[in-house]
Amino acid sequence: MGLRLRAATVRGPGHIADGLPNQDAVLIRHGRRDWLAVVADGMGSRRQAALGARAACTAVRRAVREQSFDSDDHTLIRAVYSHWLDHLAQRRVLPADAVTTCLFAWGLPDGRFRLLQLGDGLILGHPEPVHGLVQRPGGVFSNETTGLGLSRRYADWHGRRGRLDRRGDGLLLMSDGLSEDLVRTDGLVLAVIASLRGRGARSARAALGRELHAWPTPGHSDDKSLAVIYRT
Amino acid sequence: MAIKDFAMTTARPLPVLILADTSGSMAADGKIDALNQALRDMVQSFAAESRLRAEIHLGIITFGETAQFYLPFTPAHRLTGIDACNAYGSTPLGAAMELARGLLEDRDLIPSRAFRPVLVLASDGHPTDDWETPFQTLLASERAQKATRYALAIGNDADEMMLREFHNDAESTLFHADDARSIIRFFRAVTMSVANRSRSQNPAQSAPIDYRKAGNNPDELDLDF
Repeated sequence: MGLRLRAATVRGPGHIADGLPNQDAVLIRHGRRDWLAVVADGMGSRRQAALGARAACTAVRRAVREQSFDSDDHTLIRAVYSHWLDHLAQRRVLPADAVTTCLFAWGLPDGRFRLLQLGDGLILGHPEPVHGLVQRPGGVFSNETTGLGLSRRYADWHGRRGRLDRRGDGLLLMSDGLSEDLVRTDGLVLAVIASLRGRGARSARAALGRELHAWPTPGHSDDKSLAVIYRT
Repeated sequence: MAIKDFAMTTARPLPVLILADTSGSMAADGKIDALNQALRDMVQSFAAESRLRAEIHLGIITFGETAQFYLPFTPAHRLTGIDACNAYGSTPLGAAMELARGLLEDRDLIPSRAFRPVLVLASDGHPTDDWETPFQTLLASERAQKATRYALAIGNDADEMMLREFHNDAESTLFHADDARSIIRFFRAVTMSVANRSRSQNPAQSAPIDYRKAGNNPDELDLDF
């Protein structure tokens, strides 16, 4: 039984019109020891949002490299945050200028995984109970979120552990450019996996990118990112 | 099935909620007529706005003797007009604020994908009920506190201290309407600001409100009578 990781990120129409870079970042890594998928969404109002999002991907990659898979959430969160701050400090960027959300899935070849999310976006899984793991925190409106550089509380993070056991089991990690405009989520994981079946990494990225570029919600302007992990 | 089959087919809502004083004192000096005209113009303008980037949703709460949803929260493009309000009775602003808070906290009516709401208060007098407790509750509430709030003081008897406290838009100040035309001008300025925001690349950010520009209506005879 194998595992596939696929991802795509596209610049939103708003950023294209304003000549701004993609302020989302995605990272997927599939090694012999473990696998990792990260989605980060830099807060558009901050000057170094794009850098902050890329730094989040790097920080998570470094954190999982040095941490045991069995480490507790607090230890892992602290490691991610420390690496993110170090990355910014080396570039003399203030954390407040690079605020970013951070969602990641870290797993082992046997299918076990752990999830962590700070800020907007959505992690979905098939089968449940991972389904709809992290909803938007209550009390906010569109484009208002917390993230690295803002949050100082472990409680702002949402974590879960689970297992991808069977063929077709999967996870989706997405930025709020997608999650805020979903009319429903039931069946989405399976639909995405089905659309990627039989495609290689490059073909899958291109196919996902086309879907994200052609997003049909009127007025959508955000960058959009999606990472997919599924059993084959 | 493609991913796009899971996507919303409507733009994100941009909620606008008006708290309109329709107490008995508004009957004097043509104030209620001007308010009705201003609301009619606002409805007409919002209904004609493009829904390309954001969909304006409008609600009106009146407070004259009682507080009530005069216009339930409605997508503006579905509005064809609005009945005129009558001026009558006391000024139960506290009750109106309670209704406003309840609406802004209702995630079914205003989903979390909505942009930060705009809350407009227009009043010509002093509240006759306890408004401070409901106002503090609104300020402490999870979502309602995040609304951008504009206030209009109508005439010399308006409770300016209360209205100044209500107004929270950093880019503008409390607007004074000394005559009926100024009421219309204020609402025109709010309408232009909301419309600009709904058309902008980022409707999450407030658009500046410009009272001076709102005075230039090419369709209006510039006569004082």
